[in-house]
Amino acid sequence: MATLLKSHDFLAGVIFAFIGIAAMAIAQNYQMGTLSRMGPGFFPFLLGIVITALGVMLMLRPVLFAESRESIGRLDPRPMLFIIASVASFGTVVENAGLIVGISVMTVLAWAGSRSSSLRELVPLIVVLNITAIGIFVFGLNMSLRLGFW
Amino acid sequence: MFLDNLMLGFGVAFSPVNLLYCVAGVTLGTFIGVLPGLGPIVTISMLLPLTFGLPPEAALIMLAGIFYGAMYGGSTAAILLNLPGVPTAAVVCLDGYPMARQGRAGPALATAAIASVVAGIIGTFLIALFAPPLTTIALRFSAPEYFSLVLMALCGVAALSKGSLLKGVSMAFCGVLVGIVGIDISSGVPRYTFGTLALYDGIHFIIVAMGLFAFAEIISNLETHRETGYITSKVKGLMPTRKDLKAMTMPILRGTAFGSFFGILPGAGATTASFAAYMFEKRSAKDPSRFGHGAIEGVAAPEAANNASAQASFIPTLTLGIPGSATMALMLGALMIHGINPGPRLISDHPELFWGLVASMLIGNIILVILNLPLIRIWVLILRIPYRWLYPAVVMFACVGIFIIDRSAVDLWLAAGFGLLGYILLKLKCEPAPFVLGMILGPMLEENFRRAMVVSSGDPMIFVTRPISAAFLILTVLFILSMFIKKPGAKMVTESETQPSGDEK
Repeated sequence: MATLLKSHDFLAGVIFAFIGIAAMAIAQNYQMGTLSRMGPGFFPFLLGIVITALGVMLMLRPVLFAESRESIGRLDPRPMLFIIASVASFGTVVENAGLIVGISVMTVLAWAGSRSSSLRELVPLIVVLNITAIGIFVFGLNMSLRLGFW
Repeated sequence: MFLDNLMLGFGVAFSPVNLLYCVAGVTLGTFIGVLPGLGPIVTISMLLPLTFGLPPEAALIMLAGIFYGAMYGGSTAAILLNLPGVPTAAVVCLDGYPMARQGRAGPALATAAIASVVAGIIGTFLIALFAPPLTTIALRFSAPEYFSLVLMALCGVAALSKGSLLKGVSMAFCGVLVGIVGIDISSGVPRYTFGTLALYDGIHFIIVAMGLFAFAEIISNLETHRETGYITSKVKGLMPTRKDLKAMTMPILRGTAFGSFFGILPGAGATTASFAAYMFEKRSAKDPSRFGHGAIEGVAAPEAANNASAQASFIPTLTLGIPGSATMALMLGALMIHGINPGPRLISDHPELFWGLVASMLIGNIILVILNLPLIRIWVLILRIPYRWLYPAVVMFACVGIFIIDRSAVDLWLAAGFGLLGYILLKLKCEPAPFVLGMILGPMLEENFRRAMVVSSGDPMIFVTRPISAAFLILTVLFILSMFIKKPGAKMVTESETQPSGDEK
């Protein structure tokens, strides 16, 4: 039972079924219309049905066929959390504190995502990336980006 | 007529700006192709924001150069290091690396170069010959045909990409769903926007592409602690012998045929083409046991197929407006950003763009050869860059690129979200390519479905009663049925591919 729940197909199927049902539910808020005069909700609802059906089929696959029961590997949270944080924070930081701080924060977070990163390389990395970014985007492409918070 | 068009094209392609961007694209493409861990999709999506200010011809020429340049670069790494720089070069490892180990790296690289150029030139002529007639046929398409065509393309991509068909199709339809987010054109109603103003215009495909491809791949690579200390072999004596040249001629031509065929088909891509070309050579060789140990045909055919399919995949994208792979979807997106509507009218509305692109591919292929053979030593040096320096740079380019689209922090959150989604999908062995295609083609699917239903007053049989539409639907069903046939040699592909994710088709 446990292998079943951890298999690629089952989990993917659950996700798709969930997305499909959510899509159908939300589509109810829009007008459906008829087949010949479709409202905004018709096509999304149809899509939702299809996706849910496919998701359920995927969920059933490991139940019916033994060879579909491969389980997913281990998840390492570190790269995932740091890279996501690095990207997500970039926009907000740049909006509030300028490009240089933004790139620096982004670099630190991204750097932290790798196990083989060394502390000595962090500062040169930040410097190089800042210079490259400013050189290419601000000077090379004439984008007006606020550089700092001053 | 044909020559006039090519003359027009060369006029455009030889203009200093376009030439410059062609060289830049081809060089950058080779660089990207050589480096494992960085692929054409990631690069193209990163550079798309940068092309905003360029005239559309220059932008497209450069992006195309990156695409087929990367095909070539990937095989350089495959031959020298047994590591495909792009997944499509995986097949070249099989015989290219043994050739290098036998001290024949030079001829192997030269073979790859020659195969690429010949295939590229033939491919360019094929585009010039077949695109206009295809356009004429396509002009007769109406809503039902387009609906069936898009459906076929989506199922084709799902069927022919790695992984299960069921997941591929699910991904494609999820992509369609995401493509629908935003204000509905017909009714003005905002759909799936959850009340956020930022989503009214829909989700920009660059954000999705960067998240699903670039960020997800980086997270996945970091997780597996990619090692970066490689052993390289010495490269000397580039010239192949006369015997080599004779041996590679037919494989190159056959590879080009495979590549052109699979390139035009939506969904099949360079990987399928190069693999099919390789298997064909092996099966029809007088002594199949040579393969895997340094048979020159094993390098020539897949390389030719790679490059030919890269060129051929432009045909449906430019003439029908239907991209056959995620990379082509990005090219389409690039066109749309520049205000150019892809479709059958493209060639007649923007002849300088189309023929300029075609001519530039010819020029670009030749530049590839001239530029690259001397630069091989540099590529080998570059391969020594540790991944831990490379990936922050990718993140930086991606983030800044996303930010300059709308100066909105929301875009970055979305990109991060898609990065997370992409990572989870990779873990669940779901392919991102059908998703991106679904996203870009989604609006087309819905609009044509709507229109077809209006025209037929709600009769769904219209899709089957019109012959061209019926033909596409039959192909769609065939794609779906292929799920029940075991993919021959699919096992072999996964053994020789050493990249964790499949981002290129």
